[in-house]
Amino acid sequence: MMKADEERELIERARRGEVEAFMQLVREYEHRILQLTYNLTRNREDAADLTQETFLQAFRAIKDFKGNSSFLTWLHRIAVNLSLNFLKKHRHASNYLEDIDGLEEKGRGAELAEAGGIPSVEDSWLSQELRTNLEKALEELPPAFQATFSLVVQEGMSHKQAAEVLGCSENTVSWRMHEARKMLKKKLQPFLSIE
Amino acid sequence: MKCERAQKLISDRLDGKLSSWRQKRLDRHLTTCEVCRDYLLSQEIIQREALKTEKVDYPPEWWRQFEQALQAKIIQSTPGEEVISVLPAGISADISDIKGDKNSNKKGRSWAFKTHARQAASLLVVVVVAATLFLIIYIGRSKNEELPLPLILSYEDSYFNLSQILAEDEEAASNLARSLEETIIEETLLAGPEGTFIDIDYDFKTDNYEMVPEILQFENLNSEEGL
Repeated sequence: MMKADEERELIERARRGEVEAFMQLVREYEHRILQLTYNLTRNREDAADLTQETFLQAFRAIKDFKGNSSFLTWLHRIAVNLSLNFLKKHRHASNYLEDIDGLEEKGRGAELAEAGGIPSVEDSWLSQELRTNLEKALEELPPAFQATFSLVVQEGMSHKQAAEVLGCSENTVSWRMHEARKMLKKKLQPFLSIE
Repeated sequence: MKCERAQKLISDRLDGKLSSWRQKRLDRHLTTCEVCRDYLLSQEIIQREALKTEKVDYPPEWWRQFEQALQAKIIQSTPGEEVISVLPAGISADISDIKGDKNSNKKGRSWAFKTHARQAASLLVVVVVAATLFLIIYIGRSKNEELPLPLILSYEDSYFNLSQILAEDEEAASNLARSLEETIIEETLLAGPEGTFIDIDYDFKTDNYEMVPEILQFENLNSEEGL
């Protein structure tokens, strides 16, 4: 783990155009950025490309980095923006997703219909099925919801940190988490085993 | 508490964002609502499984290649000499060649664009200047052609009226003469000792400011000039 002083110095040197200083920052954070982009794209090649693009963009823009947020948060923001743009371009949104996008516009009062009951059967294959389908369900979330869920649950960020990365309010993060969870539950209903 | 509200609080609770007094309210609701208890359990399962999602990692060799490729792209994509490269000499030379080609191509295109833009701008300036000159000349001529007659007539009328007034009103004539005299003296004094002295023989009688009839005979003056 890099010390704050060391990181600041590397950022300063990178701002002056020192590639090696920037590469040290890359080596520090590349694993985390790759995991984030993978969580969002579910594709190793796309994740690697987006990680590379994230660092390229970061180097180009490092002179504008004011240090208001941490360097990692700043990198996360670039990675999430690039990933969301990528998802918007490459993902064929189903009617389901369009419905969900509409939900965000309608506001928090909108409610998804809960379908079916909760199965109480607990089978081992069910857990495996759940995991497989969870990845699929996460992929099918609207990009902004998927990014929020990924940052909060998989990256372990607080609502405040996620809000900083996503450029929205903490309340929006909270609401998106709630809606994302409802969507996931609806999708995964057949595989959920209540212990 | 409504179930929708409780489920929102469940979500906040899973994210560690729930205040203690809200937690108490939620707990109270959960003791009485089976649907929300099931919802909480479902969400805990989803959360647990989401944390088990595949971790992406690659061997060190993959990362080394990734970093080299990134470094090369950074140097390629940065124009000018701002980048301080630490790549091995061979790779640096290759990248310099690529950069050179890229820059020269870019330069060619950008120069071509600038040339066209400059020509267009020059043409535009010429057109604007020509249009401005045309307008100035045209308006100037128009003024010369249109103004004189009514203006001359009005001046002629005013002089005629003035001469009539002065001929009939002795006091007005003497006031005008005095005013003219004061103006001339004032201007002479303003010209200073080294200024051009205007020797005007205004031929006024000092005791009784009677105007010399010839000066005020505007009708005669005008007729001499053929107006």
